[in-house]
Amino acid sequence: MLVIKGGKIFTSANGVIEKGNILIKDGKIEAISQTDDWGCTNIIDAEGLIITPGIVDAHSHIGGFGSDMSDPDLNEMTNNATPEVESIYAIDTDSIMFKRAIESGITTSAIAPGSGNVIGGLVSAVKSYGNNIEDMCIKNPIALKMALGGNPKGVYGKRNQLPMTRMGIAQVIRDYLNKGKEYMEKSLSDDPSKRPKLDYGMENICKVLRKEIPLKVHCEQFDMLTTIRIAKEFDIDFTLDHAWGASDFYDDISNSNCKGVIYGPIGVLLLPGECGKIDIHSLIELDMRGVPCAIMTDGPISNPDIIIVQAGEVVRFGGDIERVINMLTINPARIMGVDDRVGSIEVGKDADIVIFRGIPALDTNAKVMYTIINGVVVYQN
Amino acid sequence: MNEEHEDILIKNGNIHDGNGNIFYSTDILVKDGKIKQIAKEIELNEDIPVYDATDKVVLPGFIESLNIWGCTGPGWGDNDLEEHSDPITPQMNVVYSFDQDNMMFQRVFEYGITSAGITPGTSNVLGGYAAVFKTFGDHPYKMLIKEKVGVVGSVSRTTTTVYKDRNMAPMTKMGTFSLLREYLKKAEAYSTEMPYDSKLISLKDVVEKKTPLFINCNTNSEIVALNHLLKDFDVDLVLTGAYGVNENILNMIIDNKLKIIFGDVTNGMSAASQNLNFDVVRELINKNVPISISSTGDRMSSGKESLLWNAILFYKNGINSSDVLKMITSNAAKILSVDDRIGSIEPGKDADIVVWTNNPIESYDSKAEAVFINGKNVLGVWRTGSCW
Repeated sequence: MLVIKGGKIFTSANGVIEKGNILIKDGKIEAISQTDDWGCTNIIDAEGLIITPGIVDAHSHIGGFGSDMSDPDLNEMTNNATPEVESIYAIDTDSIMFKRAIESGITTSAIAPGSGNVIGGLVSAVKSYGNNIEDMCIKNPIALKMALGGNPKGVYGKRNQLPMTRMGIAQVIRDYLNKGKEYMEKSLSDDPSKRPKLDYGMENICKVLRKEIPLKVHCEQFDMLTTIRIAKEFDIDFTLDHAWGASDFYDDISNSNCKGVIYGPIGVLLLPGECGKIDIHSLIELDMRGVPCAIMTDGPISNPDIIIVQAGEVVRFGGDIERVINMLTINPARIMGVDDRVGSIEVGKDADIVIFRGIPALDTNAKVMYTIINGVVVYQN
Repeated sequence: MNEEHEDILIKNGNIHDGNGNIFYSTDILVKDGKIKQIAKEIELNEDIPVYDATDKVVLPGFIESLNIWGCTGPGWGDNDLEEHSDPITPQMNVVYSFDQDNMMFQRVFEYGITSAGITPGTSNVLGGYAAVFKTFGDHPYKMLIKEKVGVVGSVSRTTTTVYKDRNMAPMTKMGTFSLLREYLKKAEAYSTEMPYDSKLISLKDVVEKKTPLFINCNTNSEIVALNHLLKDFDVDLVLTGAYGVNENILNMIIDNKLKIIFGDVTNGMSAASQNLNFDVVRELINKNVPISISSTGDRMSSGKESLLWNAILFYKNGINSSDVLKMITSNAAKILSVDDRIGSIEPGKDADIVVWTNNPIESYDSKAEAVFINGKNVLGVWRTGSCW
């Protein structure tokens, strides 16, 4: 048992508790109360400190790319679509990136294949602390990764292979989804001889077609419209990841099956085209329109700290701090479909909690004092 | 776009001058693009526009010490910074690679950056001359504050990464250091009576301390090795990147009067940046070592937000706000030898002044609401008719 006593709690569920206590038992949040009559002697004094749910990074590659992309194990660039591969097999859980994530308050990450392929593979939800991948992975799969634009073009275009163009990318996606439909229909055949041979890639496409998981789509600027159009055609769910330029398409996004906009990373050189318009303030409008909004590190591309710095940029443009903290916690948890376990401070949820000195994303010097995962203090400053 | 310098009275702001002083509720009079007077309640006889900065934080325009803005793109392949035909190219002048429309496209002034040191890439042992430009304008030479502010080179692995695949030097760090020494030695022996040699002419100024030498280095070992090699030379050395500074080399840095431009600590891709010890940074500040913050490093890909983010991370890690401000204003100006023009709010200096709603180093709830460059508020101005 552990009690976190007297802190200001951003619950990401039931508003802000100016001064409250949290009882943790068996790795879960057992109770939240203004009074502490639990008789627990194991206490963290959080008087004057700020408590938030563990930060959830909805788009990352940590553990799969080395700490500086020197060990890229998440881009299986042998075919423009590899829906059969899964990120969980490529994650080095001993990577220093997990330690650094913990130090920055990130307790869960969506670890995705890279963007070299149009269809990259399955995405998993992984906690930053645990013994091994089976222990750390809380849900697999949570999405099927896709990528539009310059990344897959850059890989296959150089080889004179499909896709060399954006037209080619859209065609690869439609071909796979159509083949998936065919596979699914045949699988349901009463005649066993007409059922297709097991194809792991097609099985994963079918998960998308059955809306069990969304497509997680790397796209910027007008590539979003390609995603929205194809998703409508096949009646499937999707998230828009990176999403630079989202402010040009508010109506398209909010009238679509978009399950979330996962924004970032920003702080990059601008170039005309894909990297020409960066508008993290668009999250304020999208959030107001009811689109679930989250912020990413794209780790190891950005340092883990930068998830909070980027959240600060939303505050700079007028974002309300409570809603911005939701973009780091409950929103990504919902987008990833792991909000039954993480993303808010509520009774029954995993005790993934961060204690800050200062308000993250508002006070630039807010520092992580404690990170708690499954009720275990995994970092103390 | 009107380039004329303007007159303005910035009234009643809380001025942080960039040298460590704060003047509350004070006016700044700007005439012909220069700061004319700083005083309380300046009375005017003439008709000059007034900007009300009551309760606002007024800071000098930030200076990005080293960056690549203006010189790469518009396409992914368009790179005018890496002259990889030769690992020793000190004679290259970045002025010829700087595209004003590219600079304008970055809109870095929206985050308070009014000047930037622009540098050739860090993947040659000696890459060329850096220059300092204003971040707003429609003509590169009008934006130029000073060229040849330093010869920029590198001893990090970026150099060997380029040349080893060609089976040419430098294939190793040994090769990098050896080349550096060889050319500095040659430059010492060079005289104008000898046949024309553009490399040695450039380096002659370095070994005669007329031009500082900026060397990109990541690790502690690289810094120590560099100091060891340069013992035999009389150069004005600026360490850039410099994540490897530690307690053991404090005295070495002080005794040799080294200056430091810290590299980007926001970019995750440079693993070396994780080693920066902020307690040592504080020690260096206490010992008055000239230090600035930048978004430079092995991989320079930074946006308008990056310098402020780096400043914020120094503040978050315990460097006080006033010292952080110096590191992106007056210190940067001194290291880049442009402190006669920019870097602080003082009479006689260029009127590069930013009015913030709050102190941006201390709170995210802070926006630049006016950005004066040469006295002109450029914040809402957009370049038109550009191919960018």
